[in-house]
Amino acid sequence: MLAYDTFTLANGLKVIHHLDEKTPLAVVNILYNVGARDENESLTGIAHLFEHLMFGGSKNAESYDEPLQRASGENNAFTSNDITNYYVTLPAENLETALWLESDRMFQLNLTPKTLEVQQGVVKEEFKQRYLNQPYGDLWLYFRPLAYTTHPYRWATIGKELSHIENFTLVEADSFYKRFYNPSNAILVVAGNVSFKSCKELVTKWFGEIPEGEINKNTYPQEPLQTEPRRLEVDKEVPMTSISLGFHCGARSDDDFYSLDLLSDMLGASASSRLHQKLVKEQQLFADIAAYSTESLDRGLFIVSGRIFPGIDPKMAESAIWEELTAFKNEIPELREWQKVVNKKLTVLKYMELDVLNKAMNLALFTHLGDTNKINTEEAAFLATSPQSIHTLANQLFQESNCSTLVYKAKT
Amino acid sequence: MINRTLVPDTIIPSALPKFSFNTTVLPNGVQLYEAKEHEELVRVAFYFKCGSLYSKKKGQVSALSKLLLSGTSKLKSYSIQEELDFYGAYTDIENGYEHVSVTLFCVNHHVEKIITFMIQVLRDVQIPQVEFDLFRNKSLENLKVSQQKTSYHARRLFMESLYGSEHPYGRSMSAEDYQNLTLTDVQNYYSDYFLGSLDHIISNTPLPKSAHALFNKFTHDTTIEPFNVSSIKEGEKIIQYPFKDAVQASLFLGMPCITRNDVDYPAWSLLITLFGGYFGSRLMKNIREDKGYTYGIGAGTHHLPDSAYLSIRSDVKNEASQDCINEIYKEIARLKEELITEEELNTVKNYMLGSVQRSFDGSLSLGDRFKTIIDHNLDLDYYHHYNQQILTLSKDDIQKTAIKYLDTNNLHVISVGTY
Repeated sequence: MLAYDTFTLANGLKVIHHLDEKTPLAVVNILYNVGARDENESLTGIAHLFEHLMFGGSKNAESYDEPLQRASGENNAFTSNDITNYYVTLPAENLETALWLESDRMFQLNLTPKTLEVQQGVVKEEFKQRYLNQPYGDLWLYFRPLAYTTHPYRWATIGKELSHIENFTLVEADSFYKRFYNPSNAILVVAGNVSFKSCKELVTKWFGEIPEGEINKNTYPQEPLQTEPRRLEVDKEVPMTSISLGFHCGARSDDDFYSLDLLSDMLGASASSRLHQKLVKEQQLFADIAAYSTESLDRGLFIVSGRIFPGIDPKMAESAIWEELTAFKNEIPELREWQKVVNKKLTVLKYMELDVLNKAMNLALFTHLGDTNKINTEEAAFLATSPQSIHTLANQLFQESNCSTLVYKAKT
Repeated sequence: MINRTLVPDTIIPSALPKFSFNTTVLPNGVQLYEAKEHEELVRVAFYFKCGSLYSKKKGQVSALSKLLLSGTSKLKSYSIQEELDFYGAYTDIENGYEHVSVTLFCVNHHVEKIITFMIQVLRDVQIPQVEFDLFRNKSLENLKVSQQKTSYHARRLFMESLYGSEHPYGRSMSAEDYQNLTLTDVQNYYSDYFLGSLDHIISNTPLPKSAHALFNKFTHDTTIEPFNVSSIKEGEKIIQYPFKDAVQASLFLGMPCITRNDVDYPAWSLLITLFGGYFGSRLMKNIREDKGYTYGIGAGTHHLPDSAYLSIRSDVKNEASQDCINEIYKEIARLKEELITEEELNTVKNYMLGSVQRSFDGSLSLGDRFKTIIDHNLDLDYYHHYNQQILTLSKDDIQKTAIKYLDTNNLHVISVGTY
């Protein structure tokens, strides 16, 4: 049971406090309600590029990083299709430095041509390093526009192409900042060895005077129901052909998320999972295979993806996946299999509680999902699923008309 | 309005928690270290002193560690994996130069069951031929995937250049090596080395007494010696490896350096952090934040048994690779020629003490620090002294350390990209 307190400033900033007296540290985590799904299709990748610009210094802190390093702190950030999340870990006594820096860049960020130009270069190199200069690195760049026709999930966080990153202007950066980076559109978590009283005092002191702004309403063009199978085959310079199947599934905050999560574990999380046992160990068609869901805030994807051994017919391998999915649809799993995946989940949940940064990030995420207390009901939610509920969900998902297939073919 | 130009006061975190472990020497000689406090999530790690320094044939040890849970005289791999999964346990098996380590994570109320099962498996490993063949086929395919990465070649060529292709530190697996490896090689390594090599066990929480008796079932063969490997033979120092159609070049530079046991180590460690060990480092500021050539560049010290090396690594814009190498040389020269400022010195000191503090946070991290102490035969007060020494270092100390150790004639420079 994770205890927490919340309060909201007059400008709309939601604050969550969690006391952990076992650690000498404090964590400051700020989640901004903006991600790649808020971009325009002709200017993609900018939510992530903007995250880089947030480190360019602010009116009263010429550099963001240096004062934090002097306060023995460490920080980083990530952008997803849904959110942008910034986090700092530092000695609890130095909490105020983190609040000063975070509030100053929320209030009055320095956006300079030099910062923009350099970070455009850095992000272009990130694009190359992670997506272009790696075998299979661009797989998702093909997969997203295949699975989504309408919703902005059809492009990746890094963006559709390098030119979008190059074209982003300072004026656009400034309007992006004004629109999304304000207290009304953010969630602040202070966790660690800090009392509620001093958290409230310091947060009010540093964030209280920032003017309120617009709240992102998170309305997006909704993805129409898929009615027939989709398929793309690409020839690539890779050693093994990769086959990926994507099924439209629910959102992270849907009630059936917990069944969905366990379904992916039964199919393809551990070495004893079905796809691994049947397709890697027994039939030796695949060198590796996994199943997982994207855990998106809007309706997401359930993915089955694996790489086949050379000489194996991709069509045969694909049918072998379908055989396993069909077997799942035809028969309710045994109780022992359900217990197995639930038990593994309980270990993971225990593990998540060990780390104060993890706790802070999750508190921010669950608050953003609409109910902070869901962090404490996850265990019960997994236990409330059943072999039957997972079986029912599998029957809804695994329809050919709900499937996008990408064959990423090794050139022979 | 508050005055935002007033920078908040800060402290430097120099105090560290004390290690609180019970040490038991079991009748068979195995050392058992158990943290005293009860934890809900257990992590227990078994260290078998039979890493690749002990093996005569390339790939034997990594194959064994990947196949350790692939079968016993009674159980198939599926049954082993399913049983561990059923009790919510996670395992992590690593093969190092000195040790093969088997780490178990599970919730405390299953710990007795899990340990009993795991010991039973580890004492009775019988690898089926079919599992071995599958391992080999997967390894061959994964090798092909690695070979498409510039960063893989940069690292491989660097280690070979630094230690020679015959030395365990310098060698890497080729497709031919996988073809030459047999199930008998791996099974024999298990019987002749692994079984008698359990050296120590580290747990983040007290373990049930019944577990002690199980650990004692392993024979502890102290006669096993590292294989007499060929000595270090440095290769070509400057290597430019052409890689068709690379959109970035992978750079890997470095040289042998001092170890944690050296009196100069704290000064060296500060020097390297300042040079390339954190986000505000000289290399990051120059290559990323000023020039935008890369997503990241870093320098760090890597510790091997009785040896260590400095590495400087980055994936950079292909056209900028030579310029980037020149800048790395320039930054080294600056460290030797110019005194750093008091401000930069203090920033690095504070940052480093913060890193040490974070690295001690939580029972799992505390176990990791304790492991470093055991591995490198350090004093229990090592980190405390390290912090104290970092605090006393001066600008002159850093410059002297740079002059003493950063000789660019010793630098190995590998670049893999399109030329």
